[in-house]
Amino acid sequence: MRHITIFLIVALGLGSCSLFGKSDEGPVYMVVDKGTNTAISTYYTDGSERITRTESYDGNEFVSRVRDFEYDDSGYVRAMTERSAGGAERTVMYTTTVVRGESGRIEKIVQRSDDGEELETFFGYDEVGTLRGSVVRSVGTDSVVMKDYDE
Amino acid sequence: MSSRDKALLVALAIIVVGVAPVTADPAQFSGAELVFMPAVSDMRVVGAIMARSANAPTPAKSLKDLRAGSVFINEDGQARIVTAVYEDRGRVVIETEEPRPEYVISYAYVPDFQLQMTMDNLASLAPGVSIADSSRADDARDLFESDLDAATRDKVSWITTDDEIDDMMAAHDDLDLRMLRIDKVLWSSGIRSSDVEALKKMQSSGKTNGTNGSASTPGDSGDPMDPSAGGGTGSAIGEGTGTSGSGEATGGSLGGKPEGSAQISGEIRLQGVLRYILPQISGGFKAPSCKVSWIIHWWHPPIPKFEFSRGYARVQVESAQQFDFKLTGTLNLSAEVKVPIAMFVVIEPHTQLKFECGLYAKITLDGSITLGFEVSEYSRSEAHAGCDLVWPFIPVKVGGGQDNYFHTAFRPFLAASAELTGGLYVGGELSWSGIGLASLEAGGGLYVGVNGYIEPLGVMGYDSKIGGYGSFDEWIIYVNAEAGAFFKVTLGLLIWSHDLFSMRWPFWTWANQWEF
Repeated sequence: MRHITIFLIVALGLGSCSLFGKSDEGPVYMVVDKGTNTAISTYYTDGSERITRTESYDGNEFVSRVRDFEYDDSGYVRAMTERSAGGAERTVMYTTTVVRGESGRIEKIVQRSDDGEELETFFGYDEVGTLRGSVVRSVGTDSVVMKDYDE
Repeated sequence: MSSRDKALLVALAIIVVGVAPVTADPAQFSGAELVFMPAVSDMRVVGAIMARSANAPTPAKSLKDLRAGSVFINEDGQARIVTAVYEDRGRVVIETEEPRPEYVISYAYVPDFQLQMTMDNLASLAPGVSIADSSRADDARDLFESDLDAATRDKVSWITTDDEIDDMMAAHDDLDLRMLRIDKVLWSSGIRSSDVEALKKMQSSGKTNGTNGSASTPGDSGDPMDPSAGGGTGSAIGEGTGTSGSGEATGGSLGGKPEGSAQISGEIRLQGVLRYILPQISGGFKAPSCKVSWIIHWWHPPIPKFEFSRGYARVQVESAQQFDFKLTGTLNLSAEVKVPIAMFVVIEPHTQLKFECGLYAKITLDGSITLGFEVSEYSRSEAHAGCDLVWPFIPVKVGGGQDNYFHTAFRPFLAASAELTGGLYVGGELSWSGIGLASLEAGGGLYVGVNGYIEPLGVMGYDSKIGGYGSFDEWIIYVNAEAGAFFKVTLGLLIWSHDLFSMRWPFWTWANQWEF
């Protein structure tokens, strides 16, 4: 009886530590609005904390849009399937090209989708090789979103 | 400019500069530039600013690092600032609120833009509203710029038919005009009576007055008016004569119980056409900025130098629409009295199937009365506002203006119609448990109908340029009446009824109108 009890305790401990196999489901994050105490969106993640699904809600907390994401081996988005409340569904496939400089640093990433959108992300480094900024440029509209990273 | 206008414009400017949710996707604005603050995390999965890990970009994103005070862009492109993070029922709840714009962006520039709303922007349509055919054109300015002239103003431009709508659309082929048709019953109700209680009272009072004969004893059947039980009108007529034996002669399969039915129904209905030009929005935005540099001289420590550059925000919205509608309240009355003359009835007790045929007289009265209002409303508006923005986001030199034109006109009307018919019919009806399954009747007789209306000769309205106008000093009454003979064949299946053949031969018509 004592051995059985010890075995069960050990098995439960191992199970909780996911040593029997990595779980495919990670934490679920729900973003809520403090003022109205209503949900805005929910993020589902996998065992690597990658976002696998997002749910967006309308003002009455009904699901207005669901997006499912698939990733390639490098961790970039490969496919996005979007379903709206009206029943419309679309799947967008992405191809990502990583351009590296002579030093091996990532200097540019080009993301193309099969619906014609193309995004270029440029990266800037300082003299000691620290990533200091990135610029995302929409090729079609020439609009850019930029960010400087904290030092 | 009044203080109220200033307040309106300040509110508009504040909305423009960022109290509204900060959207991180400038893709629909060509050439837009947006710089996030360094602490902002972009949690969009596609097209986002990548996170930094070990001095290199990484596509991996995780919400686990969000803490109170963190600012992030969510999947919908909206900026949120975290106020608390806690666990609830196995989920991590991230409590957020809208951040101030200076927490999100350090620089923003939206070149002058012009957006034309399209039908893709239409979010929903109410029941009873449908989209009419549309025409698109380059020049949509006419409706923006035209006030109504006197001739148009004095007319309620109620559109009654689809043909007229099509004609109007063709006439405005050069406008980017949209139309919504509205036909919506706002309220309806009805009361139906299959038996007329008054007839029963009349018949029972006739018996108690002692005018009945006794050849056909009412007690012989459960219902003395039931023709299948040998009673009926024929018997009642015979009884009424007081002549013994005459009731028997006309009783039995001849005659039957008069059947009366009446129905009163009413409804309030809104019918109209909304014509509008899709709103046009134009504007521009540039966030203010603050640049810090250092003045370095050998004779003193570095001195910070602040260079401020002003931003601006401006927006202009133009729209125009015309709504012609008719609000009517209608009361319909229909009554029918069917007097069987010679009826044959077969009843199958087990299934409650009943077939009835014969010769009968029928008197019908159909009438309606309608009170309505015809309204035409037109408005055109142009509003613009702008301001300079001082760092971080303080609006100064707020200015703007508006140019609105509004016109509405209406007139009431009262219309009524009534028709009385009386004739002889032959027909048959198959019914089950009192529910009519199928019927066919043919007959003819006389009819007399009258209809008319009363309405003012002018309209009353309000025009924002000239104020109130018009009067209801003069009215017109129009009456039209007709009498004649008719013949028709009608087929009925359940609640559906259709005249297979119908012909009228009017022998008297009369029409007149009075103005006062």
